[in-house]
Amino acid sequence: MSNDASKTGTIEKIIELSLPSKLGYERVAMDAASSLATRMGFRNDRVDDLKTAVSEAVTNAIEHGNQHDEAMKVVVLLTARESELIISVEDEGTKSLDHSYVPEAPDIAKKFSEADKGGWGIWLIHTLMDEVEVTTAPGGGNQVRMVIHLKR
Amino acid sequence: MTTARKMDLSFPSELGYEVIAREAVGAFARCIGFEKDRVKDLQTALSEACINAIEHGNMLKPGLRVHLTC
Repeated sequence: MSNDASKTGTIEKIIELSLPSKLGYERVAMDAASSLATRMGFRNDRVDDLKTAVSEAVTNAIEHGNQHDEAMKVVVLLTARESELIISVEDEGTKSLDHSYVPEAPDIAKKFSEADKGGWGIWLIHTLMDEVEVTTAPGGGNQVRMVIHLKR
Repeated sequence: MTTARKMDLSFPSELGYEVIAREAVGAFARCIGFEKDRVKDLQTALSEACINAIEHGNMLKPGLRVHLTC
C-alpha cells in the first residue's frame, strides 16, 4: 500500500505556522513541534532532537534567509504521517543558502578561537534528523525539509 | 517604527490539535512578555475556542481547518 496521500485519497494532517523573523520566536515552532511529536508517540530523546533541529532551522531562517527583518515570515509546516513527521521551514530568501553545502563536523578547538562561533546549524540538523533536504522554496526562499521516523 | 509581531497557525479539525495550538500560542505569549498566570488564562480560553471550532463550526471534518491569528 502506498503512503502517498494523493494516491490513497486520505487527507494529510498538516499544521501550518507563520512567525515573525525575530530571534526568540523559534520557541513557538519548537513547542508546537514537540507537542505534536509527543502526541504521535515519539520518545523523549527524539522529541529533544527534533526541538534542537527545529530551533536551528528557524534561527537560520530568521538570521540568514530573512536577515532579521521582522516583517518577513518564517513558515513552518508540520506534516504528521503514520510513521514519520515531516517538518519544513521556509524563509523569504533575502540571502540564499548554499544547497550543495555538505556539512562536516565542526572543529571545536578552532571554533572557540574564532569570533564567529555559529555555523553549526546545518551540520547539527543532519546529525539529529533522519532525512534532510535544503532546497529553494516555490516562493524563492530557502526551504529546509527534515524528516524524523517514528520507530515503534 | 516597530512592526507588529504576528503569528498565524492553522490545523485540521481533529480533537487533540488544540493542545498543539495551546503550546504554540503559550510560547508566543511568553515571547511577548506575558506573565505565567496570564499565559495559563490565555491557553485555557484558547483551548475552549479551538474545541468549539473543531466540534461545532467544522463538525469534526478533518478536511476543514481551524485558523488562528495573534
